[in-house]
Amino acid sequence: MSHTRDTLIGKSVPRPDAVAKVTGAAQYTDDISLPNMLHGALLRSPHAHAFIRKIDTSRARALAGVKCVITGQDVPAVKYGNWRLVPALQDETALATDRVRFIGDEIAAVAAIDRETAERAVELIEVEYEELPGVFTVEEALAEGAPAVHEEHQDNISLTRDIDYGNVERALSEADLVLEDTFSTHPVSHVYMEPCSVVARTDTDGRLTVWTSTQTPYYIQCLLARTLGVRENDVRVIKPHVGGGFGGKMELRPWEFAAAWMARQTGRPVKITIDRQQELAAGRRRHPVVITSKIGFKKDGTITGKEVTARLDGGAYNGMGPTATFLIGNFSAMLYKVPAYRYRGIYVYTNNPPAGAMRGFGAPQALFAGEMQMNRAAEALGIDPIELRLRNAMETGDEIPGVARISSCGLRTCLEEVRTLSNWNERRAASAPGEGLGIACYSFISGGVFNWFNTKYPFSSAEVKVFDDGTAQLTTLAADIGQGSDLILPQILAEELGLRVEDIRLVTGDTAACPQSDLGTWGSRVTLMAGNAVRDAAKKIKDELFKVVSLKLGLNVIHEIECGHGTIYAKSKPGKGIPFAEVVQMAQLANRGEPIRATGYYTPRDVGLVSPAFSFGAQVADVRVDLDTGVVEVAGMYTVHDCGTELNPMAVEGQLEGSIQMSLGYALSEELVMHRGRTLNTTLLDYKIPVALDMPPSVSKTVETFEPGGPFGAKEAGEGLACPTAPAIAHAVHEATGYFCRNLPIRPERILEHLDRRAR
Amino acid sequence: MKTRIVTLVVNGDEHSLAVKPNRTLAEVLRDDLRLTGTKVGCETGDCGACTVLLNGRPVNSCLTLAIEADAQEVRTIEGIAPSGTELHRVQRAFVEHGAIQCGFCTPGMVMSSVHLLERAPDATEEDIRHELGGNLCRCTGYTKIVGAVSSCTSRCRP
Amino acid sequence: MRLPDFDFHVPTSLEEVFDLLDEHAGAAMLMAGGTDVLPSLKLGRRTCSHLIWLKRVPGLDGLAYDDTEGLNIGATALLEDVRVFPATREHYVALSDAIRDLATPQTRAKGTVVGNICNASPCADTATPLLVYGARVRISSRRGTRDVPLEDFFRGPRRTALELGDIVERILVPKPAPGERAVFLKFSPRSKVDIAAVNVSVGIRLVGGIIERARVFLGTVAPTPVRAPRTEAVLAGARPDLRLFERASGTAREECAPITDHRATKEYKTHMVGVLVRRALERLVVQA
Repeated sequence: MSHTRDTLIGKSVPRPDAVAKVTGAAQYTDDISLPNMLHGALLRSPHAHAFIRKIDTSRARALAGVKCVITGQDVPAVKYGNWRLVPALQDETALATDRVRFIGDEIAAVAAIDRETAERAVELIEVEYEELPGVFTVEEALAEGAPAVHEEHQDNISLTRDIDYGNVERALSEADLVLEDTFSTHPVSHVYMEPCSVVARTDTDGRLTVWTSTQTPYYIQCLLARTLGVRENDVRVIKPHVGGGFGGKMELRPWEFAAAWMARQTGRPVKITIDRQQELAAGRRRHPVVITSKIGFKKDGTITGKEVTARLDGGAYNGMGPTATFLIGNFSAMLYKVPAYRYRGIYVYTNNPPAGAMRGFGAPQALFAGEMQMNRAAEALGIDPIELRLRNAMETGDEIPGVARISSCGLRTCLEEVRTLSNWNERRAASAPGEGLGIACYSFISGGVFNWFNTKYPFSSAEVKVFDDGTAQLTTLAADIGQGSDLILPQILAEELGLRVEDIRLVTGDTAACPQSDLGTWGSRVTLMAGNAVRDAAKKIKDELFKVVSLKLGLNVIHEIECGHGTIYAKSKPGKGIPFAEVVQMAQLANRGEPIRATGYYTPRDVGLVSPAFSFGAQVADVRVDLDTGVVEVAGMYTVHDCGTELNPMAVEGQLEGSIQMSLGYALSEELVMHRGRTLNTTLLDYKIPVALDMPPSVSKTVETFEPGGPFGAKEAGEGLACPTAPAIAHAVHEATGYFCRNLPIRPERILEHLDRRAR
Repeated sequence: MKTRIVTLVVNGDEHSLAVKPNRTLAEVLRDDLRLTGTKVGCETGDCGACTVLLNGRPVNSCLTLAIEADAQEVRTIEGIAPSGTELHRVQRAFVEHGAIQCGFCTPGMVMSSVHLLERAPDATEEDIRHELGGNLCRCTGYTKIVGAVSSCTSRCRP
Repeated sequence: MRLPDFDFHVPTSLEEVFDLLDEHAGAAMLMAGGTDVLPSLKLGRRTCSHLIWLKRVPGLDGLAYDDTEGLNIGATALLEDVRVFPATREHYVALSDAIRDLATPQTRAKGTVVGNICNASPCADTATPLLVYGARVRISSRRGTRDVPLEDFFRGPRRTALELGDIVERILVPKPAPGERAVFLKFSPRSKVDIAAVNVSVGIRLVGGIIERARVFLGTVAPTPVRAPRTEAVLAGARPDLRLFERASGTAREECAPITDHRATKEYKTHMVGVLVRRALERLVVQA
């Protein structure tokens, strides 16, 4: 007999930091001001590719108020990058030494008494360049005799990644239909609302403390220590509130190094805040990718095999590119059963600003290509696009040979439900000219398995202390950058301990205070990995507390004990519990006063190469195309997705709604317009993200599966959702106008050209 | 460049400050008065994170010189709640509706919403979407923000 | 991103403005709301060492209407105030529509109509409706006051008829004749809040079911907002019907010469001029 106790799982608890944020009290990095603080600025390269022949900083140094000027000559030229596992892939130095490789490459830094003086001093630094020819597209970079961006890679290929299983040749030769298409995607910016900022200070004991707008405090600590030539424990990184990241704040950045170096040099705190213009002109962006995909089908729609080549425009440095190169291969064959698959990813250096991780990380590109091709196949085979997907959909228990095992999958249900939700069959039968429904699906990872950072610590850690006043403290380096882990992790702990969320105090974002370690916020890893670490710690705490309860209640050894309503009790006798606070008091007493604390850990093991769990979803876009202007109006979005157990529906909805905004922009309005390595639109007036008026109405639903590897059955809900929107809209545009978009973004001009051609 | 003495009345408090003419209201609020609730997201008037009410009207404080606000009334996010222990109803609605994720756009959104509701208590959803057109958000897709503001209109409060 | 050093002047009379313009000839800029001046200074697109702020000059913020003089918009009258002014909404709908779509609420609460005009951007949204309504610009200087038709005011991108020492004191917009109406339409493909890729204003006067006269102005398709006289000629004296609108639309396409920029290609802008002119005419006739 079990009774149902109140559960916090599935409850839309509001964020604990909401009041601080809505009153302006929440502190972000640029809000920090320390006594005697200096302000820094960076000198960036105006050239896409050039040798630095000479740097003269004397005029800058002479300016009143300037306290420190550094160039690549003044600091050790330590190469760094997130791929510590393969040092050859670490190709970046904080400040250029002898060569600049993109417009915006950092050359020098200044610290002065105020920002105005620092910026003025930067303008006084004289640099003699010898301009070099550059390469600005994948084609240019791979051409015979193209100038090399890096000496070590004369062919401009930084690396290739392969995936290969089954006999692709045979699979394609046995197919009734083979399609081959090439798709390309464009560079876009994260446009996190908070521009990057850092404050560095040398503490009285010589340790360096760095406050920085990052989603990976641990990486910053490690890489900063290495570039500065100090021990990791000599660097303390604190993550204040962060105004969004979306993948754009997960690497060490030159300003973090420069602020730290200059703080040590001057003995004064140094702040550097990057402005929006620099963010757009030189900041990380989503990889533009050219994807060629060849896929075979039987007449009945069964996929026989697939072959994909992806060429990524990585820009001047690797950054997170090696991971993207591998993931595009995975995302291209994760939704459907593909018995034979071959993938080659090629990471190409160019003289564009470096690309990096961005929400979906490879999946928006891979799924734009893959899902558009599925829709083309459905048309060619005369099968409904949803039906074609259902015939091939991945299912729980399926394996991707040598790569992953799908431990839970609700894709089929998602497809069936989105068909109903969007009224797919009736609407498709009755659509007028200029109207169309389009569909696309996604699958995404719940955190990465591959240890490219080569950490020596568990992937996630959480320390829990419980107190005899009935409260608990959770300490973790898991990084909330807006997505809500500071809500979800306490919610998980409260559920485990039978407390209320407001009984949990959180300490987070400080490498000196939090247990080692947490890899940070990327790859939708936090809920699953840090959530599991919290549960591990809670279990250890409960083991301690349950001993006391068992003794006190004189329980038979076969009794199950659980926590709920602020008490701990035998499951069969829920009425006869002992208050949580009292149990802690007794446990502590039994422990001769030692506090009750435990640290929990999570590291994925034996779950393949990619991720411990995979989320799925299907989305339908309803569009109206103005046939006079080619302008696409999205009239509605219908989403059904499988994120396992939904821990906090309001937070999940928030992720979906934000994903639609970002992906609507990706599909229709956003593009970093490039000319020979120069970003032309560097204000938010010219780089256009959707405003409230642009947003379509949206209806959504979750299908509940239970993910055995996730906390309470939960898995990813934040990134996968950012992937189907662009192909769903593009498909709907195709249905509405006949225009089949192969190159994002969808431009009204192209739609009109198509309509004109068709009219003639 | 001559430094000027300006008197700002911020959230009812009078401050006399010496400022250079090229300093913006956003900079003076944040750096001199340490009212860092006003956020700076673009510095060119395109994102609305720095929205404050100048004599009751919403302006981008990054495109307002501190001198322009001399002897004027400025209201910032710090001056919206009726007391230190109580939130303004718009703030409460933002919290309850989950209208906040990273929170960086939130102060500006709240200021625009407060102004909108003071001027048009019966605003429709369409009005709200128009009037928040100068405030960018990258996390929420605006859905819950619009929902929070809608819940404060007279249409929802009989 | 920082503002350059400048001296900031707060004149309290026009005389004082003239003195300052004399004293800092060539090095001074006039500023009203600053919503265009300040970002362009920050982005290094303009330079100046003296800013002359007009907001404290009494009388310049005037906004008035009467049936004989029409609408009188002072140099510092705010965009939003002009937009919601009852007379604007009643007699100059194209202008109030243009202001609504021109900028964010924050910019409308600080920027001015006169500033939008003096800025002389080819895509200034208030330009085409004011041109259709036959607005005049009252320019003052120490030498005196003169009225210049807005049509003669724009000389090129960011260039106007203003000479050293001049200031635009106000814009005068005559009352539309009976039966005369105008429509402003703008096209920005990326977002509903965006700079126009193309904007047009079309005004017609319908008398007895015939278009007695038409005024057509196009924005963003030339270095300045331009008139489309051949399109006007197609319309004048004709009976409005869809075939006529098609012809007018075709003529408008022929007489504009836009350039490709990061917002749209020249071909697409040309096409859009045709679409907007046709839609504007349709709307005007439906309203009649």
